[in-house]
Amino acid sequence: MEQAVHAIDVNLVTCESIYVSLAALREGLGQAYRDRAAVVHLSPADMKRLQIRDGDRVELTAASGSVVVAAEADGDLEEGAGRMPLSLYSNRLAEYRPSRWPLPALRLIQSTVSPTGKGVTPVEDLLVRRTVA
Amino acid sequence: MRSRSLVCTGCGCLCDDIQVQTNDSRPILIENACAKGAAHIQASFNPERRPHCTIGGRQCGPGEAVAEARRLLGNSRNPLIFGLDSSTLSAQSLAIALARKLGGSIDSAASFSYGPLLAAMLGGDLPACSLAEVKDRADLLLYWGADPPNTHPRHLSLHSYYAYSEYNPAGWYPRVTLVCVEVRRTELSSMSKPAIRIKPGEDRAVIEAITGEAQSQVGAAQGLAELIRKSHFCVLFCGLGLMHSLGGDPGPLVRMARLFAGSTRMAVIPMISEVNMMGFCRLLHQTAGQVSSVGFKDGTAAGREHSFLEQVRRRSADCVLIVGSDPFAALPQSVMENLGDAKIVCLSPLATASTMAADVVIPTALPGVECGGSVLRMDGVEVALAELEKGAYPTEEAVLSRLLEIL
Amino acid sequence: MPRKDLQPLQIYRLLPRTNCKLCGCPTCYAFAFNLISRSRRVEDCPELLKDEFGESFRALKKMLGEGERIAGSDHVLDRSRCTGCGDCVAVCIRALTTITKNGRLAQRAAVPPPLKVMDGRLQVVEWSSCKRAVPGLDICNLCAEKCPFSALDLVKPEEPDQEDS
Ligand code: SF4
Ligand code: SF4
Ligand code: SF4
Ligand code: SF4
Repeated sequence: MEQAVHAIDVNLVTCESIYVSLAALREGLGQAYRDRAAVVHLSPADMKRLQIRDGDRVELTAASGSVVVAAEADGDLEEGAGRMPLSLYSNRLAEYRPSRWPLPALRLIQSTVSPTGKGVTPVEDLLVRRTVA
Repeated sequence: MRSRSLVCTGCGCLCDDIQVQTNDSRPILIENACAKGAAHIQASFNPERRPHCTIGGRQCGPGEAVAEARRLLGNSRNPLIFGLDSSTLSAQSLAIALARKLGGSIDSAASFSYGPLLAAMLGGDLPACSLAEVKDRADLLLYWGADPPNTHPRHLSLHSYYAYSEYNPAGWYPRVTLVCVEVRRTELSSMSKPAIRIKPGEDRAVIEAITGEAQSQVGAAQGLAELIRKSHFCVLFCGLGLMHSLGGDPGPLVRMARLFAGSTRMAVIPMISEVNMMGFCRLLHQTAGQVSSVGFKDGTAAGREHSFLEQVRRRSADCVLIVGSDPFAALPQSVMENLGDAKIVCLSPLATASTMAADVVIPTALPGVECGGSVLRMDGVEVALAELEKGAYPTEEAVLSRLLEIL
Repeated sequence: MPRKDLQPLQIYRLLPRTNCKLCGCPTCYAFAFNLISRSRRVEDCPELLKDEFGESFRALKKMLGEGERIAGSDHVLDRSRCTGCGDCVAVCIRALTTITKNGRLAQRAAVPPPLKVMDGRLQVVEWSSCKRAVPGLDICNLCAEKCPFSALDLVKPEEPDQEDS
């Protein structure tokens, strides 16, 4: 048996998903939204290296934050590539650094992926809370 | 029971063939709208999807909330108005007047999406065409960085590929080539022939290989150039994937359009998701000469420093009025956290991440369901919205003109 | 894209094959036909719900998908996948009146469209217009073939009922 790798780097591409939009429109930022949005698709090879299976939790960590989501294999992806629906989850990872790129990097995110025992990040934790006077 | 025709405001397609049957002022059957459109219409009748009128989390009446909004905006040294890309043209004009009166700045999501592209189109550097022309005349539909099945569900069936007026005699094949350029497999790529797959971030290199600006050859470029050259009328549907990959810069597209100008008619339609981003950009362009990020502090100025993103990043805005937009969901949390203790007033028809973060929330009527008005579709065509049922909420126009009056 | 044509034998092999009739079918083989036409669901066989058949249960679910038969038609729709995009409706309208007759293209009299999107999902509103409903016309499956979300499937018309045999 191959030794499990603890963490790998992936280039995440994000994209709109109609099912995420529908969940938000129908029920707001609730359970259905979380189920549809808190997913990352990885290549079967990377899933194997991390020794994880469909539905296992992974922690994604990028320059501006981290989230825990469910992993799923997608045979269309190459090693080192990932795909994620555009949502509050992916936005937590995205950064805006105009010195590097003129737009917020919402659609292409460098992130590390590591298996975790933690539960999926609740949507509430992804909302910007402000001290309301 | 009564039946009404409606224009759906669920996305930028603005489908105008929607039929809604209502009973006791509630919709009981929605015909022709896609799932997104139906959910959008139903959301306005679902009290749980509407925000409460609040000040600092405490429920109050709209009069009180408007007065508080007035106070916050009046006390602000750097007021900023943001959003409006889902508002009617008249609400947009009022917001521009308000920004002028406040001596503040005004911006929309266009500044970090289609703004520069729309500026190039308004400036005549990129040719446009209407969706009606697409159906009759185009022979190459090129979707680049766009996946309408996920963003504009009926774009293909109502406005482009499947809506083609001419079909071949054997049945259903439209006389048109559907091509997509994407970084991954999508619902659209599975129906495109060919579906051109590029690497993430490679878009600029592909275009520059086509225009001959780049030395290196990119595999996809040659086939694509060939397809465009052979076509008579190519419509390029620009998606957010392309805009982000180009860093918002339409330059490469302008050069590509110029290159083919001699042989092929090439037109651009931005795949705008918001119902009236086009209208707001045009209005601002008429008023201030720029499509977004305009400041009225000393006269009229435009530029990056007036953009929402920059002002939030630099923490220079101390009061933000958000109108019908949800920047707290659309932008990285790491940016929005910079708003710190700036005051936020949010006018919104639906409960969103932004209404949850705002100091003052004023629920408004949903355009296209609870009030009418005019908007400009993604192809620049003006569309008149119908009203289904007048709800309990004031329109954005009403709130904005009240603010204008009392400030 | 529709699912690959499912073969009764292939389904039958995954069933308990005891012919216990608890599903309401006289034999497991008859139940296999009913599964393919989506007139019964995998859950209707109580045996399959037992742990020992867990693997078969999952395999069957995967093969058959979540689609449910739209009553009175050959259409099987996965309601959670359908986005109401209307692509199926649009291709159907174009294909509806073109038929092949004696190996040549021919026209069929105009009929009202069989499909319509209502409340954001596909509905069959005029089954009698569908080419599949008219004996002797081409077996059409365009609508299912063009669904971008693989939400739509078409099943063969009901097998002759074997329940009384
Ligand atoms: S495609 Fe857009 S405008 Fe048309 S019905 Fe769907 S959500 Fe509404
Ligand atoms: S209930 Fe299951 S085992 Fe019994 S006859 Fe039906 S399919 Fe066969
Ligand atoms: S069945 Fe498929 S093609 Fe038809 S409306 Fe639903 S998602 Fe669209
Ligand atoms: S099977 Fe053919 S005729 Fe029948 S609904 Fe589908 S596309 Fe239309």
